[in-house]
Amino acid sequence: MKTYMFLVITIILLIVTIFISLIRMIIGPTVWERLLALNLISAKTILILAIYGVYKENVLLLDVAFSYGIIGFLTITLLSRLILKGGRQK
Amino acid sequence: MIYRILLFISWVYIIFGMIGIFRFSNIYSRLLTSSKIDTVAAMTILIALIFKCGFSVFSIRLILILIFIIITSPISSHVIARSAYLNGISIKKEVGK
Amino acid sequence: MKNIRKNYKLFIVLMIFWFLLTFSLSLSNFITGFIICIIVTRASYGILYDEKGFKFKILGILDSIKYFLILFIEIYKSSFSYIFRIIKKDCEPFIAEVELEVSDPLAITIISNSITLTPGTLTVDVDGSKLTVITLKDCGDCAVLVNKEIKEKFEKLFIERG
Repeated sequence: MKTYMFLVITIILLIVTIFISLIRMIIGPTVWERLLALNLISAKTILILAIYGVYKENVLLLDVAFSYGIIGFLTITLLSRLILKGGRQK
Repeated sequence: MIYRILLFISWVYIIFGMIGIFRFSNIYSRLLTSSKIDTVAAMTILIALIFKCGFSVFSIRLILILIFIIITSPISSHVIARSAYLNGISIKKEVGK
Repeated sequence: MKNIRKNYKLFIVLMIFWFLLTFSLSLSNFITGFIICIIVTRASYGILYDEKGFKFKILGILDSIKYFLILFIEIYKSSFSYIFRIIKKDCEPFIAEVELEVSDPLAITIISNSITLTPGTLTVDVDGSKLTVITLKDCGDCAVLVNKEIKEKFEKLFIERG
């Protein structure tokens, strides 16, 4: 149990930072700050999945992490393009 | 063990990334923070995991995730910055406040 | 079949990745990988390669190892300097323009990505070979300084190749 303590502490720290960036997402004055917080959350989710896969010694979780990364990247790109074109107003 | 030292360094990066997000008052400064500090934190954690696993099925996938993060993380912050810049969020005015 | 014989490099790379990812050497695994790799190689005709060979100039192995080493060192250096910047809270972004000498689209993409990762700059827009860049501080001569820094660090690698 002691050998895995560093991994567990890292996971807990990452979860705390996800909640802090949720606060940023709620109070952010413009749309782009919310997008930035979304970007941070998706990057941290990949890290949590990778660490948990190593902790449980399960290879399939790493595949899930990889596909989650692709989905998060597509989300950011498409949302920024939509906002750049003006959203629904035009 | 080398991976414990690397994980310890990554905690410092994560904490300073969060502080930087709340300390600056400008969207571009926040973007500069997130594009550097958080990429470095992710890279450090993944390298630490690679050192922990040695050569196995895990480390190949971890190397692939590392390359993917290095390629896509600057692109996504670039896309956000471009969208904010072309929509006319000016830099000088925000600094003056 | 003619296209595949001409582009055996792509096929070999795909097969190596298939074996690294599945990590087993049974016969059914080999046959499945072979069929999928042939389909992928056929489908990427016109996107990745043409009759004359690959469409893009791809870096050699030695060059790319050198490039990644430089990139890693630069990233860690920049992150240390940025932590002190966060503590002192001095960050006043302003916009500069950089004119590159390379005209290859792939090289421009790689250079602008590595600019974003290294100290104090963030690429905003690309028009031809002119980059619009956000830098950290407005210090009068900053545009010239950023120009010099980018050219010395990254563009040198691509110009030498010709």
